[in-house]
Amino acid sequence: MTAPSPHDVLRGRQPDVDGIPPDHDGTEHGWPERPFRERYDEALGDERLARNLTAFQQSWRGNRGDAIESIDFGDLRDRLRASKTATIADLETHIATFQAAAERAGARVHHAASAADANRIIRELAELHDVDLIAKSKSMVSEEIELNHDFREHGIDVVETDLGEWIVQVMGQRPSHLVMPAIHLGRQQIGAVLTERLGRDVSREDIAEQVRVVRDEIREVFFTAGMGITGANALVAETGTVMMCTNEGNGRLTSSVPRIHVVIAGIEKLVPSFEDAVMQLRLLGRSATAQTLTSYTTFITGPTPGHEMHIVLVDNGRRQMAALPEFREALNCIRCGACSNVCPPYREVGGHVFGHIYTGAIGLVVTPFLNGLDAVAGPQSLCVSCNACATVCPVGIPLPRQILDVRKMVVRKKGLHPAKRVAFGVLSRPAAFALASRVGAKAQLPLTRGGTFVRTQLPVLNRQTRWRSLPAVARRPLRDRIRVGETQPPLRPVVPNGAAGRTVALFPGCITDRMYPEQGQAVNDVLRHLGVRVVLPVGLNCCGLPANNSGDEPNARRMARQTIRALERTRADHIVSGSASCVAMIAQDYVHLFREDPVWLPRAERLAARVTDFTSFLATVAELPAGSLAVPVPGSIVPDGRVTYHDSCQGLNALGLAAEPRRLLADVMGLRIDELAESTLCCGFGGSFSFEYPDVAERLMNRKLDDAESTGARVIVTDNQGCIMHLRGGADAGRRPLRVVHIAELLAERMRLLGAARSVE
Amino acid sequence: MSDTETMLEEFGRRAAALGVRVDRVPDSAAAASTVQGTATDARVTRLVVSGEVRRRAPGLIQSIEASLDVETATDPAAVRDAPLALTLAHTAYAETGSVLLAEPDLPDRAVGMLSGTLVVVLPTGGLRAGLEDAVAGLRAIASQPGGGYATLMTGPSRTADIERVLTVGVQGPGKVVVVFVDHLL
Repeated sequence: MTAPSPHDVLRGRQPDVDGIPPDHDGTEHGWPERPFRERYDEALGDERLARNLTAFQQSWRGNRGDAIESIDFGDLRDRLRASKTATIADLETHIATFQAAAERAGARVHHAASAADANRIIRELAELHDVDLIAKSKSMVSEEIELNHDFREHGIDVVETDLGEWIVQVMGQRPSHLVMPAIHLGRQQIGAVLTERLGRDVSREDIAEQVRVVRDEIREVFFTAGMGITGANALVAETGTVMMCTNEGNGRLTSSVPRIHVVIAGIEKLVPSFEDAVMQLRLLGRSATAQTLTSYTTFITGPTPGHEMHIVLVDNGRRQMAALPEFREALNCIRCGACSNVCPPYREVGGHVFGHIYTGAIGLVVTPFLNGLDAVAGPQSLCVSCNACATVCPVGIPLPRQILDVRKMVVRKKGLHPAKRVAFGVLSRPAAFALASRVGAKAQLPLTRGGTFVRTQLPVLNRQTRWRSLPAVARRPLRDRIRVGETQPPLRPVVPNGAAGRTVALFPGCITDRMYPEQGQAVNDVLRHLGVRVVLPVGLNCCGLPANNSGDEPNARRMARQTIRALERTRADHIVSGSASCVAMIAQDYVHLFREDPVWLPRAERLAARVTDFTSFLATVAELPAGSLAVPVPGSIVPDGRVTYHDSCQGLNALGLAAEPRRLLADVMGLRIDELAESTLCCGFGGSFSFEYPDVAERLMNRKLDDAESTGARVIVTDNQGCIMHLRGGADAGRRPLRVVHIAELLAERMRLLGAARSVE
Repeated sequence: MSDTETMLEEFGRRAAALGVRVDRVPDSAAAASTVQGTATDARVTRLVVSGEVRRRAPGLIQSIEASLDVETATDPAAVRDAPLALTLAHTAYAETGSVLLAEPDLPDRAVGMLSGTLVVVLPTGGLRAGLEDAVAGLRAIASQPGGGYATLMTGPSRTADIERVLTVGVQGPGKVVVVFVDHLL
């Protein structure tokens, strides 16, 4: 039997291998375009997918950590960000410089305003030169404009020459990751597809054999193709040079051997000089594949002698992005894919669900401009707002905030879910919220039987609640335990500290106030035992975070204004909250919410400067001495002195807290910390996320609780009430031997003991 | 240690981590021995060389020709899947263990793209410390009349596209040997 040619392989019918379904319409771009919920449910049912992606994320994190050890990541990131931002601000000048230099070197530069323009330009070049076979190297812009689909419709064959791209092309799929296109597939699936397509047995286990087989299938294309199409990692304006990074060597062949070389690149790829290009190189390989450099970093200026070179500069929504301050910085992206590599929901469902063509966090941001808002309406709702993507982005794009801005666009167009509309309507009206809380506290009694959990399963919410117990509403909220508006006198400091004599306004947050008042009481007591005057200001309500994270900008603003009004009246030296989420909202998100409001913006900025979280306050203001609270506590929450610490996403990723809580636990309180295996991974709460995507939330929660149990510690300590609600609920429903507590509760039990001892003296 | 020795040590460490063999030899005769040894290991007697290395290091080629069939690349099809090839690097960079190949002509480029094992020679004096030192060279290559084609090659061709399992040798050379020659003639 004669083996089919690459053309035959690509023309074959769509496979149905190991659960990967055939396209609904037989086109190569059909799979990702099925309804979002359908794709989501299918991905959840694919256990191998999450297993592969989990292994990938875990190894990438370790390898990337090693790779950035040899550079100053923060400094390089800031410099590259500044360079890219300045270039985007003067984009037309750099494009003109690039074009003039490239054309001096013999290339021809084309400008495509839209995807259709780009496809037409390249197709006409192929037709002009009677090209019927094209070799293509990896290019996300070509995916964006659906170039392969356009060629197929016009009878021109295109063969992807990157190994992963070739595999997903053969399988009728799209890449599921910006740099690892076939990361969602396993060797068994690939072996089965190769066997079916090539008509000969290919190993399902031996990856080296699979690579050899695909390599040989592709090899001939370089020599028979009339055109080679590549992407670009950067366009160096000063010399008109195309920079391209690859590992396999297919990019060099694609750009060299066929007589016509077409480069397709977004206009944001411009960099002014080689100095800027080298700066990008130092971050790109490390962020993408944890390499210092990819195997081949190629700089192409002008055509190969005797050949033609065409460079197609694609706008397709980019100039629109450049004109919007909220989204401009997304054009700094260097397409490393790092944001996918730390994304918890991406880990569970993959890039065919978490994204459209561009996957991961950056995909959620750029898709509305490149492929339309509808394409990202579903995927954007999967973002858990953990901020992890922002911590690894090599150009410092504010991805979490931009995703929320996309969410707000979706909500403006499609409306808010009715349940959220009702919930935020109540939450944003203090009297209604107070009434609902008090009614709820009484109405829940048949379900709670006076306990702290609502354990009864509600059939309508089975998917949301079968794996976790919900918290009961406190019968006495914090505002009934501490006199509102009345400054409590300081107690005699139990340990020497730098906060004594200060006045603190306490912002407990609505969850603390209504569900976990004992945590608010703990914060209050700790502060007082430090010799601090504490006041619970009048007029506090929710900070607005739930509405903001759901894309409900009007209610988020309404609650933000309530909070600003209430807090700016206080003359306290500091405004302190035991909720890392509320602090991140007040200190960071308010300024963005009011960015176009000349009245409220300065008020938001002033407030932001005064707010701090409880842990930071203790670390930077109180500066508790080492060992000062290392005292045995009878009946302690931590009887064996061992804890594990869960970094809340807002605490770690938004506020940058990592060493501070650990110092309090280990150095100040003398506790042993048994670290979690993946301490930086989200627990899966994400506010309403855990109700919208309970399956993902459950998986993430169970992973966190499994990791916690594995440490041997029986107490999980954290600084955020949402995480506490989620993890406590899961531990209770799963009957796990774990307690979840706020760090203030541990500090408070020690300070109360020392305070009581002082009283006896 | 001298600066050169320090850079050589770093280059060697970086390149070795990528599976690249690095040698430093005093002269072209010793470099020829390295090439011959590589050919013996690969059990081949044919060596494809770039036009550039033949022009710039005729003494080296002459020494090699004593024991191997040396063929100068003329077109990519002739170089396709050649088991062993030899080319000349423009410079090398200790920071990343990379060599810079400047290959304006397609046949020379094919030597570095299509062979199974690639031996890269360059004068020891062409070793630089960091990537910022590549800027001037890249700018000069790109600014030539008609432009240029340059590649920072950092290890062999590789992929991890299937289950992140590293496989070396895809479309480019699967083995790379870098030879620094103190006196390259």
